[in-house]
Amino acid sequence: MLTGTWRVKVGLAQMLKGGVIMDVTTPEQAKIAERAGAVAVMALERVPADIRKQGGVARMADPEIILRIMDAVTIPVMAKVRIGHFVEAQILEELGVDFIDESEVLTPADEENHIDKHKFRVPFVCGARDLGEALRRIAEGAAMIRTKGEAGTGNVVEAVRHMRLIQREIRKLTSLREDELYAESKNLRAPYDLVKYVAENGKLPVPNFAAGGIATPADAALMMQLGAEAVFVGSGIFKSSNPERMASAIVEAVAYYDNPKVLARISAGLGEPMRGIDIRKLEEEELLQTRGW
Amino acid sequence: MKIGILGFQGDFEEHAKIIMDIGHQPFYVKYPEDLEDIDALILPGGESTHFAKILTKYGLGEALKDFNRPLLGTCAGIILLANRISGGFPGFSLEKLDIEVSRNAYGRQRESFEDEVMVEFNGDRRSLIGVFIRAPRITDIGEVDVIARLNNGEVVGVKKDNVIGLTFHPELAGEDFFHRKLLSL
Repeated sequence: MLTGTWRVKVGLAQMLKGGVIMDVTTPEQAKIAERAGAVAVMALERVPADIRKQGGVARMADPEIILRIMDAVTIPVMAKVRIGHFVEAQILEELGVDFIDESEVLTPADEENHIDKHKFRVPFVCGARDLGEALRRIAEGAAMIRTKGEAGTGNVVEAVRHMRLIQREIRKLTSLREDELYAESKNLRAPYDLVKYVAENGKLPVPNFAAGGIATPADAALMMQLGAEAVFVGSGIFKSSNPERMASAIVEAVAYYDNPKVLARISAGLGEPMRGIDIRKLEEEELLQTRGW
Repeated sequence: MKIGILGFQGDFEEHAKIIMDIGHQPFYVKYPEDLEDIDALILPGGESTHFAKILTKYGLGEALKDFNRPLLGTCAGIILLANRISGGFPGFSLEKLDIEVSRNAYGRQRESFEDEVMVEFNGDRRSLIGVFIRAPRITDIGEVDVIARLNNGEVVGVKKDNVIGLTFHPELAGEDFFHRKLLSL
């Protein structure tokens, strides 16, 4: 019997495809998410919108909060660690968290190295803004990639930019001659074998999800139509005026992302979505997406 | 043949790849009318609570209860097929197999595993690799045939007439044995 194999790690990521992963800060919110049909929850102390507002160093959540959320639901529970903070990851693995997000939403602990994710039995998800970054994370052992977007803004523009760029770079790779892949590997700053895999298969070797600024059913369906295989919703649900209905509607929007008739019906009468931020008005140091390399 | 795969959540693409590799046409089922002209249906792995919600809300669940062509359910799929469920009822069942299953019964993702599975299907015996992801466990069996066991004897696959239920994922290991058998039922 083998645990923690690549197949077992990527396997869980594959089971989450077509679903919505929701940020929650309490067991009650986790239950609302589960009832709405979330395929997993992300256990946090604060949602990204509050992290952004409050400032200071953002760290792994208190294990007590994570354990209470794990007890409250039967679906997988994820939690975040700071970039490069492998001890926070060891703690989450010990708690039995199902997926670890090495996340730019928290304050990085290492400005050079990400976590060596091969060393863990639990799978990791990492954010990426382009194909090279995605492949560097996969080389380090990430079993799932998500766009970074700009978390906590309720503004989908950055997630769209990152997903379009990753898909465009994938399409470009499939059109290159085999002898051009060596130079392209250097341009992308990514390992040659992963570059070759993408060129041959036209997709990443792990599932590719969307995250960062998704606030409405239409945002979620937009990301799916742009090629995302599932969607993370952070502040968008519990910062809206009616979280139960918003959660349920986003789940249905992802399941029927290509059916405008369904999307029109579920988008009606949802109340106020979270208040968004114009990302052009953020200072450079307020951006979360530039964390990680 | 045209093989339906419940296609809104879970590892439906991995099943589709196996169906294409053995020379048939996969078709993603998302609406009740999609069931009309398929020759068999696969219920993939995914989250059973999500399946239950969408199946009940979009009318597909009721249509599936009357579906009597061959069925294959893997992981979350066998939870949909079982007539008895413990460890958190997901909210919907087709009750096609007389078994009791317990959800996530091996533990959390840390405990997910791959292992050798011994198969005996209508006299055809072999061993293959099964991938168990936060898998359910069969805790009681009624009027069904056992078709797959772990080396310790634990039952991980059953069949009743033209319905196959597995607690693991043959498709994640590229195993096409059960998909071929499904087409022969």
